[in-house]
Amino acid sequence: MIFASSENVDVRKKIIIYFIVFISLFFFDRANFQFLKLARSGINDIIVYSAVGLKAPFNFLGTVSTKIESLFSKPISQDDVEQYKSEINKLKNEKIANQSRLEYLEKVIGEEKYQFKTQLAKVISYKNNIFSNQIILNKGKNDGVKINDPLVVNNILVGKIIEVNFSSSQGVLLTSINSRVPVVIGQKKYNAILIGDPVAQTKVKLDFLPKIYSFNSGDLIFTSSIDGIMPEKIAVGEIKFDSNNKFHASLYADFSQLKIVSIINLDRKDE
Amino acid sequence: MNSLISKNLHRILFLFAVIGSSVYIETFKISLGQYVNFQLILIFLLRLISKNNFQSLWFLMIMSIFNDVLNGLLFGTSAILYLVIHSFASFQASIKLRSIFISEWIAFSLSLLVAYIFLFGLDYLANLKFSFSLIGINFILTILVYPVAWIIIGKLFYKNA
Repeated sequence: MIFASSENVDVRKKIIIYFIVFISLFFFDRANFQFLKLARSGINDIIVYSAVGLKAPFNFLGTVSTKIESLFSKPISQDDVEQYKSEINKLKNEKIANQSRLEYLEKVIGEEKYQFKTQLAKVISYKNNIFSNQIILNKGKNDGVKINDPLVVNNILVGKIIEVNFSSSQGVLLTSINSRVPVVIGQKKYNAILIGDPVAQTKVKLDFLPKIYSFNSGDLIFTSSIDGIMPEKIAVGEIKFDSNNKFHASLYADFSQLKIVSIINLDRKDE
Repeated sequence: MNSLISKNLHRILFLFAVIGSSVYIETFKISLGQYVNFQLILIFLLRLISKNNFQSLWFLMIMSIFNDVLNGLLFGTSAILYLVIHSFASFQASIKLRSIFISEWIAFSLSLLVAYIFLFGLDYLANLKFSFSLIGINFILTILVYPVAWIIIGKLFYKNA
Protein backbone atom coordinates (compact mmCIF):
# COMPACT_ATOMS: atom_id res chain seq x y z
CA MET A 1 0.00 0.00 0.00
CA ILE A 2 1.19 3.53 -0.77
CA PHE A 3 1.01 6.15 1.92
CA ALA A 4 1.76 9.70 0.89
CA SER A 5 3.07 11.58 3.91
CA SER A 6 5.53 10.80 6.73
CA GLU A 7 2.56 10.78 9.12
CA ASN A 8 1.06 7.94 7.15
CA VAL A 9 4.36 6.09 7.09
CA ASP A 10 4.18 6.12 10.90
CA VAL A 11 0.64 4.75 10.74
CA ARG A 12 1.77 2.02 8.37
CA LYS A 13 4.56 1.02 10.77
CA LYS A 14 2.11 0.93 13.66
CA ILE A 15 -0.35 -1.18 11.67
CA ILE A 16 2.36 -3.73 10.83
CA ILE A 17 3.64 -3.88 14.44
CA TYR A 18 0.15 -4.24 15.92
CA PHE A 19 -0.76 -6.82 13.28
CA ILE A 20 2.25 -8.98 14.25
CA VAL A 21 1.52 -8.51 17.98
CA PHE A 22 -2.16 -9.42 17.71
CA ILE A 23 -1.73 -12.33 15.33
CA SER A 24 0.83 -13.73 17.81
CA LEU A 25 -1.67 -13.14 20.63
CA PHE A 26 -4.31 -15.01 18.65
CA PHE A 27 -2.06 -18.06 18.22
CA PHE A 28 -0.98 -17.96 21.89
CA ASP A 29 -4.63 -17.86 22.92
CA ARG A 30 -5.49 -20.67 20.53
CA ALA A 31 -2.62 -22.79 21.85
CA ASN A 32 -4.21 -22.51 25.32
CA PHE A 33 -1.05 -21.48 27.15
CA GLN A 34 -1.50 -21.64 30.91
CA PHE A 35 -0.15 -18.11 31.60
CA LEU A 36 -2.42 -16.62 28.97
CA LYS A 37 -5.35 -18.59 30.36
CA LEU A 38 -4.89 -16.96 33.77
CA ALA A 39 -4.41 -13.52 32.22
CA ARG A 40 -7.49 -14.09 30.07
CA SER A 41 -9.57 -15.06 33.11
CA GLY A 42 -8.52 -11.86 34.89
CA ILE A 43 -9.09 -9.64 31.84
CA ASN A 44 -12.45 -11.32 31.17
CA ASP A 45 -13.60 -10.66 34.74
CA ILE A 46 -12.58 -6.99 34.61
CA ILE A 47 -14.19 -6.40 31.21
CA VAL A 48 -17.35 -8.37 31.97
CA TYR A 49 -18.06 -6.52 35.21
CA SER A 50 -17.14 -3.10 33.82
CA ALA A 51 -19.29 -3.80 30.74
CA VAL A 52 -22.26 -4.55 33.00
CA GLY A 53 -22.10 -0.98 34.35
CA LEU A 54 -21.46 0.58 30.96
CA LYS A 55 -24.20 -1.45 29.31
CA ALA A 56 -26.86 -0.55 31.88
CA PRO A 57 -28.21 2.50 29.97
CA PHE A 58 -28.15 0.54 26.70
CA ASN A 59 -29.95 -2.38 28.31
CA PHE A 60 -32.54 0.04 29.63
CA LEU A 61 -33.09 1.37 26.10
CA GLY A 62 -33.28 -2.23 24.86
CA THR A 63 -36.17 -2.99 27.22
CA VAL A 64 -37.85 0.43 27.15
CA SER A 65 -40.37 -0.49 24.44
CA THR A 66 -41.43 -3.53 26.48
CA LYS A 67 -41.89 -1.28 29.49
CA ILE A 68 -43.95 1.22 27.47
CA GLU A 69 -46.08 -1.64 26.14
CA SER A 70 -46.70 -2.87 29.68
CA LEU A 71 -48.04 0.59 30.67
CA PHE A 72 -50.94 0.13 28.29
CA SER A 73 -51.71 -3.43 29.29
CA LYS A 74 -54.70 -4.21 31.46
CA PRO A 75 -53.91 -3.91 35.21
CA ILE A 76 -54.21 -7.08 37.29
CA SER A 77 -57.36 -7.10 39.40
CA GLN A 78 -57.80 -8.59 42.90
CA ASP A 79 -59.87 -11.42 41.38
CA ASP A 80 -56.98 -12.31 39.06
CA VAL A 81 -54.58 -12.38 42.03
CA GLU A 82 -56.89 -14.76 43.90
CA GLN A 83 -57.21 -16.94 40.84
CA TYR A 84 -53.41 -17.09 40.42
CA LYS A 85 -53.03 -17.94 44.11
CA SER A 86 -55.43 -20.85 43.86
CA GLU A 87 -53.69 -22.06 40.70
CA ILE A 88 -50.30 -21.93 42.47
CA ASN A 89 -51.73 -23.96 45.37
CA LYS A 90 -53.21 -26.47 42.92
CA LEU A 91 -49.85 -26.84 41.13
CA LYS A 92 -48.02 -27.22 44.46
CA ASN A 93 -50.34 -30.05 45.46
CA GLU A 94 -49.97 -31.69 42.06
CA LYS A 95 -46.18 -31.48 42.42
CA ILE A 96 -46.30 -33.19 45.83
CA ALA A 97 -48.55 -35.93 44.43
CA ASN A 98 -46.31 -36.42 41.39
CA GLN A 99 -43.16 -36.53 43.52
CA SER A 100 -44.54 -39.27 45.78
CA ARG A 101 -45.75 -41.19 42.72
CA LEU A 102 -42.30 -40.82 41.11
CA GLU A 103 -40.58 -42.05 44.28
CA TYR A 104 -42.89 -45.07 44.35
CA LEU A 105 -42.20 -45.88 40.68
CA GLU A 106 -38.44 -45.47 41.17
CA LYS A 107 -38.63 -48.02 43.98
CA VAL A 108 -40.64 -50.40 41.79
CA ILE A 109 -38.19 -50.36 38.87
CA GLY A 110 -35.11 -50.05 41.09
CA GLU A 111 -33.77 -47.08 39.16
CA GLU A 112 -30.77 -45.22 40.46
CA LYS A 113 -31.65 -41.72 41.56
CA TYR A 114 -29.37 -38.94 40.44
CA GLN A 115 -28.73 -36.13 42.84
CA PHE A 116 -26.60 -33.25 41.66
CA LYS A 117 -25.27 -30.31 43.55
CA THR A 118 -26.52 -27.13 41.90
CA GLN A 119 -25.98 -23.45 42.42
CA LEU A 120 -27.93 -20.48 41.14
CA ALA A 121 -26.19 -17.97 38.91
CA LYS A 122 -27.34 -14.62 37.57
CA VAL A 123 -27.14 -14.01 33.85
CA ILE A 124 -25.16 -10.76 33.62
CA SER A 125 -24.96 -10.62 29.85
CA TYR A 126 -26.74 -12.27 26.94
CA LYS A 127 -24.78 -12.47 23.70
CA ASN A 128 -26.46 -13.14 20.42
CA ASN A 129 -24.11 -12.49 17.53
CA ILE A 130 -22.99 -14.06 14.24
CA PHE A 131 -20.67 -16.47 16.04
CA SER A 132 -22.55 -17.55 19.07
CA ASN A 133 -25.52 -17.53 21.33
CA GLN A 134 -23.97 -17.27 24.76
CA ILE A 135 -24.57 -16.03 28.28
CA ILE A 136 -22.16 -14.67 30.88
CA LEU A 137 -22.84 -15.75 34.46
CA ASN A 138 -21.76 -14.19 37.74
CA LYS A 139 -20.25 -17.43 39.11
CA GLY A 140 -16.77 -18.66 38.25
CA LYS A 141 -13.81 -20.78 39.31
CA ASN A 142 -13.94 -19.34 42.84
CA ASP A 143 -17.49 -20.74 43.19
CA GLY A 144 -16.54 -24.20 41.97
CA VAL A 145 -17.82 -23.83 38.39
CA LYS A 146 -16.04 -26.03 35.84
CA ILE A 147 -15.97 -26.27 32.06
CA ASN A 148 -18.80 -28.48 30.66
CA ASP A 149 -21.03 -28.05 33.73
CA PRO A 150 -24.65 -28.19 32.46
CA LEU A 151 -26.93 -25.17 32.78
CA VAL A 152 -30.57 -25.80 33.62
CA VAL A 153 -33.69 -23.74 34.21
CA ASN A 154 -36.67 -25.45 35.88
CA ASN A 155 -35.00 -28.85 35.31
CA ILE A 156 -34.70 -28.15 31.58
CA LEU A 157 -31.31 -28.04 29.91
CA VAL A 158 -30.41 -24.67 28.36
CA GLY A 159 -26.68 -25.06 27.71
CA LYS A 160 -23.29 -25.74 29.26
CA ILE A 161 -20.28 -23.85 30.56
CA ILE A 162 -17.51 -23.36 28.01
CA GLU A 163 -15.19 -20.91 29.71
CA VAL A 164 -14.53 -20.23 33.36
CA ASN A 165 -12.98 -17.05 34.75
CA PHE A 166 -12.27 -16.30 38.41
CA SER A 167 -15.62 -14.66 39.21
CA SER A 168 -17.59 -15.16 36.03
CA SER A 169 -18.16 -17.85 33.44
CA GLN A 170 -19.37 -18.16 29.90
CA GLY A 171 -22.11 -20.57 28.91
CA VAL A 172 -23.01 -21.65 25.40
CA LEU A 173 -26.75 -22.03 24.76
CA LEU A 174 -28.23 -25.03 22.95
CA THR A 175 -29.13 -22.78 20.01
CA SER A 176 -25.52 -21.70 19.44
CA ILE A 177 -23.85 -23.03 16.31
CA ASN A 178 -20.97 -24.26 18.49
CA SER A 179 -23.22 -26.28 20.83
CA ARG A 180 -23.07 -30.09 20.73
CA VAL A 181 -25.10 -32.15 23.22
CA PRO A 182 -25.52 -35.94 23.12
CA VAL A 183 -29.19 -36.85 23.53
CA VAL A 184 -31.50 -39.86 23.74
CA ILE A 185 -34.83 -39.67 21.91
CA GLY A 186 -38.14 -41.38 22.55
CA GLN A 187 -39.04 -44.76 23.99
CA LYS A 188 -36.72 -46.55 21.57
CA LYS A 189 -33.83 -44.49 22.97
CA TYR A 190 -32.22 -43.41 19.72
CA ASN A 191 -28.88 -41.73 20.27
CA ALA A 192 -28.17 -38.46 18.47
CA ILE A 193 -26.30 -35.20 18.81
CA LEU A 194 -28.31 -32.02 19.27
CA ILE A 195 -26.57 -29.24 17.34
CA GLY A 196 -27.35 -25.54 17.41
CA ASP A 197 -28.49 -24.19 14.05
CA PRO A 198 -29.23 -20.44 14.01
CA VAL A 199 -30.95 -20.58 10.63
CA ALA A 200 -33.27 -23.51 11.44
CA GLN A 201 -36.86 -22.82 12.47
CA THR A 202 -36.35 -24.27 15.97
CA LYS A 203 -32.67 -23.13 16.12
CA VAL A 204 -31.49 -26.73 16.64
CA LYS A 205 -31.12 -29.89 14.57
CA LEU A 206 -30.46 -33.56 15.26
CA ASP A 207 -27.37 -35.17 13.79
CA PHE A 208 -25.70 -38.62 13.93
CA LEU A 209 -29.05 -40.43 14.13
CA PRO A 210 -29.01 -44.20 13.46
CA LYS A 211 -29.57 -45.29 9.85
CA ILE A 212 -33.06 -46.56 10.59
CA TYR A 213 -35.30 -44.71 13.00
CA SER A 214 -38.91 -43.71 13.43
CA PHE A 215 -40.21 -40.91 15.59
CA ASN A 216 -43.63 -40.15 16.97
CA SER A 217 -44.84 -36.66 17.65
CA GLY A 218 -44.16 -35.83 21.28
CA ASP A 219 -41.18 -38.18 21.69
CA LEU A 220 -39.14 -36.75 24.53
CA ILE A 221 -35.52 -35.70 24.14
CA PHE A 222 -33.25 -36.20 27.14
CA THR A 223 -29.51 -35.77 27.65
CA SER A 224 -27.27 -38.80 27.33
CA SER A 225 -24.11 -39.51 29.31
CA ILE A 226 -22.54 -41.25 26.32
CA ASP A 227 -19.72 -38.68 26.10
CA GLY A 228 -19.00 -38.96 29.83
CA ILE A 229 -19.48 -35.22 30.23
CA MET A 230 -23.19 -34.52 30.37
CA PRO A 231 -25.29 -36.26 33.06
CA GLU A 232 -28.18 -38.25 31.64
CA LYS A 233 -31.95 -37.75 31.81
CA ILE A 234 -32.09 -33.96 31.85
CA ALA A 235 -35.10 -32.88 29.79
CA VAL A 236 -34.20 -30.99 26.60
CA GLY A 237 -37.28 -30.93 24.36
CA GLU A 238 -39.50 -33.08 22.20
CA ILE A 239 -40.03 -34.20 18.61
CA LYS A 240 -42.62 -32.30 16.62
CA PHE A 241 -43.87 -32.76 13.07
CA ASP A 242 -44.60 -29.86 10.75
CA SER A 243 -47.29 -29.62 8.05
CA ASN A 244 -45.00 -31.43 5.54
CA ASN A 245 -44.75 -34.36 7.99
CA LYS A 246 -41.10 -33.55 8.56
CA PHE A 247 -39.84 -33.97 12.12
CA HIS A 248 -37.81 -31.41 14.05
CA ALA A 249 -36.49 -31.10 17.57
CA SER A 250 -38.33 -28.50 19.59
CA LEU A 251 -36.66 -27.15 22.72
CA TYR A 252 -38.52 -26.63 25.99
CA ALA A 253 -36.32 -23.75 27.13
CA ASP A 254 -37.24 -20.13 26.49
CA PHE A 255 -33.89 -18.41 25.94
CA SER A 256 -35.26 -14.90 25.82
CA GLN A 257 -36.24 -15.01 29.48
CA LEU A 258 -32.96 -16.13 30.97
CA LYS A 259 -32.31 -14.15 34.12
CA ILE A 260 -31.25 -16.86 36.56
CA VAL A 261 -29.90 -20.32 35.73
CA SER A 262 -28.82 -23.32 37.82
CA ILE A 263 -25.31 -24.64 37.27
CA ILE A 264 -25.02 -28.36 37.93
CA ASN A 265 -21.68 -28.90 39.65
CA LEU A 266 -20.36 -32.26 38.52
CA ASP A 267 -17.55 -33.92 40.44
CA ARG A 268 -14.89 -34.20 37.79
CA LYS A 269 -11.16 -34.12 38.26
CA ASP A 270 -10.26 -33.32 34.66
CA GLU A 271 -10.55 -29.54 34.92
CA MET B 1 -14.77 20.38 28.61
CA ASN B 2 -16.51 20.77 25.26
CA SER B 3 -13.20 20.70 23.40
CA LEU B 4 -12.21 17.55 25.29
CA ILE B 5 -15.45 15.86 24.23
CA SER B 6 -15.19 16.99 20.60
CA LYS B 7 -11.53 15.88 20.53
CA ASN B 8 -12.50 12.43 21.75
CA LEU B 9 -15.89 12.20 20.07
CA HIS B 10 -14.69 9.49 17.68
CA ARG B 11 -13.50 7.41 20.65
CA ILE B 12 -16.76 7.91 22.56
CA LEU B 13 -18.77 6.88 19.49
CA PHE B 14 -16.63 3.83 18.99
CA LEU B 15 -16.96 2.80 22.65
CA PHE B 16 -20.75 3.06 22.31
CA ALA B 17 -20.61 0.95 19.14
CA VAL B 18 -18.60 -1.81 20.86
CA ILE B 19 -20.86 -1.94 23.90
CA GLY B 20 -24.09 -1.34 22.00
CA SER B 21 -23.43 -4.14 19.53
CA SER B 22 -23.58 -6.75 22.29
CA VAL B 23 -26.77 -5.41 23.88
CA TYR B 24 -29.74 -7.71 23.45
CA ILE B 25 -32.97 -5.95 22.45
CA GLU B 26 -35.67 -7.87 24.29
CA THR B 27 -38.62 -6.58 22.25
CA PHE B 28 -37.23 -7.71 18.90
CA LYS B 29 -35.20 -10.63 20.36
CA ILE B 30 -32.06 -9.54 18.51
CA SER B 31 -28.70 -7.94 19.14
CA LEU B 32 -27.90 -5.15 16.70
CA GLY B 33 -24.35 -6.43 16.31
CA GLN B 34 -25.77 -9.65 14.89
CA TYR B 35 -26.94 -7.85 11.76
CA VAL B 36 -24.73 -4.80 11.28
CA ASN B 37 -21.07 -4.32 12.17
CA PHE B 38 -21.15 -0.68 13.27
CA GLN B 39 -17.60 -0.81 14.60
CA LEU B 40 -16.07 -1.43 11.18
CA ILE B 41 -18.25 1.28 9.61
CA LEU B 42 -17.13 3.76 12.26
CA ILE B 43 -13.42 2.97 11.90
CA PHE B 44 -13.59 3.46 8.13
CA LEU B 45 -15.77 6.58 8.20
CA LEU B 46 -14.03 8.36 11.06
CA ARG B 47 -10.59 7.65 9.63
CA LEU B 48 -11.70 9.11 6.31
CA ILE B 49 -13.23 12.18 7.92
CA SER B 50 -10.03 13.15 9.73
CA LYS B 51 -6.53 11.70 9.63
CA ASN B 52 -6.27 12.49 13.36
CA ASN B 53 -9.04 10.02 14.18
CA PHE B 54 -7.48 6.74 15.39
CA GLN B 55 -4.04 8.05 14.36
CA SER B 56 -2.50 6.28 17.35
CA LEU B 57 -3.94 2.81 17.34
CA TRP B 58 -3.80 2.09 21.08
CA PHE B 59 -7.48 2.91 21.65
CA LEU B 60 -8.64 0.60 18.86
CA MET B 61 -6.43 -2.18 20.18
CA ILE B 62 -7.82 -1.89 23.73
CA MET B 63 -11.35 -1.84 22.33
CA SER B 64 -10.57 -4.93 20.27
CA ILE B 65 -9.71 -6.86 23.45
CA PHE B 66 -12.96 -5.54 24.96
CA ASN B 67 -14.92 -6.72 21.92
CA ASP B 68 -13.23 -10.15 21.90
CA VAL B 69 -14.25 -10.74 25.50
CA LEU B 70 -17.81 -9.50 24.99
CA ASN B 71 -18.28 -11.68 21.91
CA GLY B 72 -16.44 -14.77 23.12
CA LEU B 73 -13.74 -14.58 20.44
CA LEU B 74 -10.08 -15.48 20.73
CA PHE B 75 -7.84 -12.53 21.62
CA GLY B 76 -6.65 -10.75 18.51
CA THR B 77 -9.60 -11.58 16.22
CA SER B 78 -11.24 -8.13 16.39
CA ALA B 79 -7.85 -6.39 16.32
CA ILE B 80 -7.00 -7.99 12.98
CA LEU B 81 -10.36 -6.90 11.51
CA TYR B 82 -9.92 -3.36 12.84
CA LEU B 83 -6.41 -3.18 11.40
CA VAL B 84 -7.56 -4.36 7.97
CA ILE B 85 -10.31 -1.72 7.83
CA HIS B 86 -7.99 0.92 9.30
CA SER B 87 -5.30 0.28 6.69
CA PHE B 88 -7.81 0.47 3.82
CA ALA B 89 -9.24 3.70 5.25
CA SER B 90 -5.76 5.19 5.73
CA PHE B 91 -4.91 4.37 2.14
CA GLN B 92 -8.19 5.83 0.88
CA ALA B 93 -7.63 8.97 3.00
CA SER B 94 -4.12 9.41 1.63
CA ILE B 95 -5.21 9.30 -2.04
CA LYS B 96 -8.45 11.26 -1.85
CA LEU B 97 -8.59 14.91 -2.79
CA ARG B 98 -12.24 15.37 -1.93
CA SER B 99 -14.94 13.12 -0.54
CA ILE B 100 -16.58 11.02 -3.29
CA PHE B 101 -19.23 8.83 -1.77
CA ILE B 102 -19.29 6.08 -4.40
CA SER B 103 -15.53 5.49 -4.38
CA GLU B 104 -15.55 5.45 -0.55
CA TRP B 105 -18.44 3.02 -0.51
CA ILE B 106 -16.70 0.67 -2.94
CA ALA B 107 -13.46 0.92 -0.93
CA PHE B 108 -15.38 0.13 2.25
CA SER B 109 -17.08 -2.89 0.63
CA LEU B 110 -13.71 -4.15 -0.55
CA SER B 111 -12.11 -3.66 2.88
CA LEU B 112 -15.05 -5.41 4.51
CA LEU B 113 -14.66 -8.34 2.14
CA VAL B 114 -10.95 -8.64 2.97
CA ALA B 115 -11.71 -8.30 6.70
CA TYR B 116 -14.32 -11.10 6.53
CA ILE B 117 -11.91 -13.33 4.58
CA PHE B 118 -9.46 -12.83 7.49
CA LEU B 119 -12.32 -13.63 9.88
CA PHE B 120 -13.09 -16.91 8.08
CA GLY B 121 -9.41 -17.83 8.21
CA LEU B 122 -9.09 -17.04 11.91
CA ASP B 123 -12.30 -18.87 12.81
CA TYR B 124 -11.17 -21.87 10.80
CA LEU B 125 -7.86 -21.88 12.69
CA ALA B 126 -9.71 -21.52 16.00
CA ASN B 127 -12.02 -24.44 15.11
CA LEU B 128 -15.06 -22.22 15.53
CA LYS B 129 -18.19 -23.14 13.62
CA PHE B 130 -20.00 -20.30 11.92
CA SER B 131 -23.11 -19.86 9.85
CA PHE B 132 -22.35 -18.59 6.33
CA SER B 133 -25.87 -17.22 5.98
CA LEU B 134 -25.64 -15.16 9.18
CA ILE B 135 -22.24 -13.76 8.22
CA GLY B 136 -23.59 -13.11 4.70
CA ILE B 137 -26.56 -11.15 6.09
CA ASN B 138 -24.22 -9.23 8.38
CA PHE B 139 -21.90 -8.44 5.44
CA ILE B 140 -24.68 -7.21 3.15
CA LEU B 141 -26.48 -5.17 5.82
CA THR B 142 -23.21 -3.56 6.92
CA ILE B 143 -22.60 -2.42 3.35
CA LEU B 144 -26.20 -1.18 3.04
CA VAL B 145 -26.08 0.75 6.32
CA TYR B 146 -22.84 2.52 5.30
CA PRO B 147 -24.59 5.30 3.29
CA VAL B 148 -26.89 6.10 6.23
CA ALA B 149 -23.90 6.24 8.59
CA TRP B 150 -22.02 8.35 6.01
CA ILE B 151 -24.77 10.98 6.11
CA ILE B 152 -25.24 10.98 9.91
CA ILE B 153 -21.57 10.80 10.93
CA GLY B 154 -20.54 13.20 8.19
CA LYS B 155 -23.02 15.82 9.40
CA LEU B 156 -22.06 15.29 13.04
CA PHE B 157 -18.33 15.61 12.47
CA TYR B 158 -18.25 18.36 9.89
CA LYS B 159 -20.44 20.39 12.24
CA ASN B 160 -17.93 19.87 15.05
CA ALA B 161 -14.86 20.41 12.93
